[in-house]
Amino acid sequence: MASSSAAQFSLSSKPSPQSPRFHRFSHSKPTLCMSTDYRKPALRHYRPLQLTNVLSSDAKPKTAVTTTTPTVETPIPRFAPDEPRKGCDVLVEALEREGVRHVFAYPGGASMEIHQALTRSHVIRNILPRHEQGGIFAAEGYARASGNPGVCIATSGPGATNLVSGLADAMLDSIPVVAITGQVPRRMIGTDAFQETPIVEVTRSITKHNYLVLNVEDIPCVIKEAFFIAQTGRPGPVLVDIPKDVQQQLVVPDWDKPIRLPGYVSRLPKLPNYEHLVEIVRLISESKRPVLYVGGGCMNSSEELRQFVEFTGIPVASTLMGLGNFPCTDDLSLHMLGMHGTMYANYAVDKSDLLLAFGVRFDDRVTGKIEAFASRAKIVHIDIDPAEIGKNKQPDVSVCADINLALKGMNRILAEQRLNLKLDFSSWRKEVNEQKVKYPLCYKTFGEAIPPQYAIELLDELTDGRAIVSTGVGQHQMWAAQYYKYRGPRQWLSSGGLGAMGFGLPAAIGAAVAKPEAIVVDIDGDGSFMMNVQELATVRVENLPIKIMVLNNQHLGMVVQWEDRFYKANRAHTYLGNPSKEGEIFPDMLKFAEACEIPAARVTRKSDLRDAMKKMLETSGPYLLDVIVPHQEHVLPMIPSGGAFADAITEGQEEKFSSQGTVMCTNAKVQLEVIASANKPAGNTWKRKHSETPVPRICNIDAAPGLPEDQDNTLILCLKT
Amino acid sequence: MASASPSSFKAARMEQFPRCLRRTPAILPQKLNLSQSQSWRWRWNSSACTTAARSNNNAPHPSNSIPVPVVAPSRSASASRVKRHTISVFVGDESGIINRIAGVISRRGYNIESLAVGLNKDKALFTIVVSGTEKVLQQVVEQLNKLVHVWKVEDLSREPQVERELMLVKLHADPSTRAEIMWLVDIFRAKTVDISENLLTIEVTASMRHLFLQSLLL
Repeated sequence: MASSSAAQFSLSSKPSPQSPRFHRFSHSKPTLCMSTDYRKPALRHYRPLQLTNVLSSDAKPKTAVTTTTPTVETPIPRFAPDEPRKGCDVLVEALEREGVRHVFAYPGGASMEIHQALTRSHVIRNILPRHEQGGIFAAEGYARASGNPGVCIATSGPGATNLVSGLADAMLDSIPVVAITGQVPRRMIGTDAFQETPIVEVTRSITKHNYLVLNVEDIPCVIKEAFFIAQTGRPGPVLVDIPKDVQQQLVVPDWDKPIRLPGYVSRLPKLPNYEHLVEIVRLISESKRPVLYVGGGCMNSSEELRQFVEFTGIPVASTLMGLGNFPCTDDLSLHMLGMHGTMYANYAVDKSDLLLAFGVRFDDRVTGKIEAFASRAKIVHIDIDPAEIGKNKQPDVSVCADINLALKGMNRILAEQRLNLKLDFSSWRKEVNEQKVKYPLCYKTFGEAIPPQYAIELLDELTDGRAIVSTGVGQHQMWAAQYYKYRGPRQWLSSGGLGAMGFGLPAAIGAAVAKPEAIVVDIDGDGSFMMNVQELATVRVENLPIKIMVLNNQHLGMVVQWEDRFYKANRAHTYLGNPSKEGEIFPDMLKFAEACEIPAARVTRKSDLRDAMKKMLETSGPYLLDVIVPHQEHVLPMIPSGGAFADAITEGQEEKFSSQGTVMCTNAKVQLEVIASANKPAGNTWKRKHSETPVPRICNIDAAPGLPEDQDNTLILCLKT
Repeated sequence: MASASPSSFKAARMEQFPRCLRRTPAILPQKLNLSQSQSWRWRWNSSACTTAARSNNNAPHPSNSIPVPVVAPSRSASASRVKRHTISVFVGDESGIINRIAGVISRRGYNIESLAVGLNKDKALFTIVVSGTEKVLQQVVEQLNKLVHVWKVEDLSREPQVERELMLVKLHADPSTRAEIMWLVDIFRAKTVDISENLLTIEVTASMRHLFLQSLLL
């Protein structure tokens, strides 16, 4: 059955945006008793297969997938309409009716019945993770990459508590996820039974809503409500807890029971007020230095945003969650702003006189010192969540509506008034471009050591900026955000609000399941990779073509950076290698890959990197590339937390050498420079605390780990001051 | 540690006037039909002017150049004063709803002073007293609105309202002191609801706290 709208098929090479299923609903008048027909009639029970046309320039040519009508499978009813069936079968059928095709379920005592029912389903395929946390991160990756809600199932007790990180992450990043957990039988609830945890109590504040199903007749209605709540308004995670005896009880389900959420439905955002949009356009025409500050809320509005920027010519600064919503390759893109954002994006926001905040929440990583953030600007805030408006920063004009509709309205106004409004911000753009030239993103290279930033730039070049990139958390995440130029939305999958390590690999699994034709790369750090390394087994078993690039610096990079900057390089449990064998790479990631039969390779030299990466991208199926990088690298620029734009740090070389630590230097001349610069006290705090100039003492000279012994000119100096 | 701020930015900053002087006058909003969730907000210049003036020694004193709106200081002062607000929340009944509502408020770090719930078949009405500034109250109301089973949230402190407090006091009363107690009770229009040999139970309903009565009885 052909879908009604062409927007679902992607002709361009970016991953296709999710068809906004519930946008049509938000136009219509909200009713108290909801019928099931709030979805488009053509899409009644199914989600069409989304095929994307993603080509990489260097990899072996994938078949250029043109759009085809999706083969939609009609779920064959397995039971007669009035045949009583178990609660678990009702649950699975309810999921099928919601259009779910993939779940990430890990079995256990209290959820066994659901798994048995899943085997009886011909439509839903289970991808078995190896840890429930991997399952829910995979469901999140699925939701982030496709826009459809991700479903994960876990058992009671420890299974449910392992979902907590994923639920908190989905809550903070507003990702639609439906988590279903088993629970002990109703008569045993509250008695500290085996594998019982009150998961509904535990997850109350980290889910949008949760349910404990006590009546088997409620199952169809609850699932319908759960999916509705997860996707409408500001998306979020929903948990459904089903006791085991409810799963086993026989019932004839009533599929037409309407969902009753009168308060919630009446509070869903309405159409934006036309006068407010006119006022915003007027403000734009009066301003001299406007800046667009876009975030995760614009995920479904990439096209409208592009058109808006085309009409107005306003430069665009994006948050971590909003990367890709406006193509980073565009001239008007200022890339990322915030704590590790580019200097020119932060400069533009600092100097602007009109800040258009679309789909953002003024998070502390972006604003720093809130009073100093955009202190000269009038703030226009458009967000779907009324609680975010005015929470951190008081806007001058606020519109609580779906950004999609607001942008469409403003584009219409701009198109009509195109001749009257002469929007010319070329002098402002020139000023910002001067900053781009003066303070570009840059990094230093040292001989044959691989700069991690270079590795990511190379990946960008080889995948043409079109890969789906998932990351863990830490320095590698910031570099992946800074140096990879995303071209479209839903390419960047990363844990933003919560910052959960171990997110990378499972999220890549979810993305690979959602977008089978796309190139999925997991840029991970050695710390984050180790947290969910067990998912390598899932990758192999499901044969997912995930490329894992581990930026291995043997340390917990981001914490090391803060230790270097603020704690005088005092290492506090941040070394992830083996202290008794410091010269060796520990653990050997290649052996992890070998254990799961995944081809892998290690690369230590910059000259070998290109070939190694090409091999990684060209090998079909999963591949692990262990890239050894130095741990002295810092993510720059950096605005310390609670700091304003004036406190931004752009250089870091002097600090590196002036404190105690291990320094990697690559030739004799640099050696001497190191000692010389180490004599200089760096920064005011240093001077205040140490009255005499520290004299460095070389206490150890070693060959760099992983490099061949014959490289005489690469040494490690341990300096003690 | 070194915070190398680009010196050019700082220099440019020092030359600039305080923010309030460079601003265009605030927009005067027309009377538009606003739905509950859409709003206009004013930016108040007064506090910004004084802080900017303090930090920029080079800049001319703001009071010489632009008249600062006189209304502004009191409005911002009242906005940051801690008050007791009464919120009424109407919810559809659900198991654990009290926990949910209390959880939403405490999760955001706000304090509930008192909570009263009335239940009717499948709906419940909460009357919550929260202490905090205007901003805190606004956040509490918005966060409660996010709950799925909440039908309506109202801030009662804004409108004219009738408020009563009820106090039941159980006193040890010998026949010798009983007469005096009952005379006090009479003055405050309280009611004696129970008498036994040594005990007396008094009910006081008032719209303000009758501290006098409390201290006298105790």
